[in-house]
Amino acid sequence: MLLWQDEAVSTASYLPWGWLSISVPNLIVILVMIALFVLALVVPFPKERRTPRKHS
Amino acid sequence: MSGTPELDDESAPSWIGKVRTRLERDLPYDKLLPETQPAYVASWIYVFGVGTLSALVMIIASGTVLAFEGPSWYHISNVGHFFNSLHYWSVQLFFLFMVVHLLGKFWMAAWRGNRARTWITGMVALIVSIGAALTGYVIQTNFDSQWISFEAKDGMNAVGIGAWFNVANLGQNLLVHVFLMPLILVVLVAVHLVLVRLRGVVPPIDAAEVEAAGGAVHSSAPSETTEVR
Repeated sequence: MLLWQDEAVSTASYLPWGWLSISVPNLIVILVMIALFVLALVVPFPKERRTPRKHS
Repeated sequence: MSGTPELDDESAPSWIGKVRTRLERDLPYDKLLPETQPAYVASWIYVFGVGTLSALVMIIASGTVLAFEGPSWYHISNVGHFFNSLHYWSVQLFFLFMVVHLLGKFWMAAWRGNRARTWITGMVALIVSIGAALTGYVIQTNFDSQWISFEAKDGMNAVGIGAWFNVANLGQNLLVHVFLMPLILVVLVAVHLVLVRLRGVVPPIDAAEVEAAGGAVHSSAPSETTEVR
């Protein structure tokens, strides 16, 4: 079997923690979601650019 | 909001007329497609709903290409691999944005202000999305889908629906994934969006007094609105 095929069907690494076992990819996604949530609360939103409206 | 006399529900002779007068009364165009939003909407936490919607558009667009070209194309050709990956990563972003959207709405108790139906349609859309994702995983026609479908088959049997919903049945899951699930999801999302427009974007908890004072979505006060660009 080709190397890329072998990698494509191999299982992810798992982190056992007592009764909880989670794969590294799933853990990364969960941490990214939490990080995005926190960043969305604290990062300031860009200020509105007030441009004059053209009235035809 | 009080309707004009000619838009009175009782004056409509048929159910179509009743629906029309109700829509004209509750969802005028300026409410359906507003140009301004309250100042509190200018926050990144309010971006993830439309992010989820954008990802869904990409999922449907890339999925349409995959459906027309078929697995013999998307498993073999470079362009097929690209569209396959585009579909996959759009799904990843869809769920990622949706979970952050859910976290934001949960912690601001977004069901406040008569928005229970908005919250419920969002939650049902999440559950349907999980079903769409599962059926998508099992129709890939590769080793991954074989493994997932036979793992999921045990799960379906354990909850007693395995005989009716067989995840090892490629034809059944293909139809459910490319027709039934997108249809239900698009209808749910459409209802969800209309309800958001109907009730307005939920304010932060400490802005409740602004909403109670009628200063929510359609406030014309410059200090409470910001332009949507």
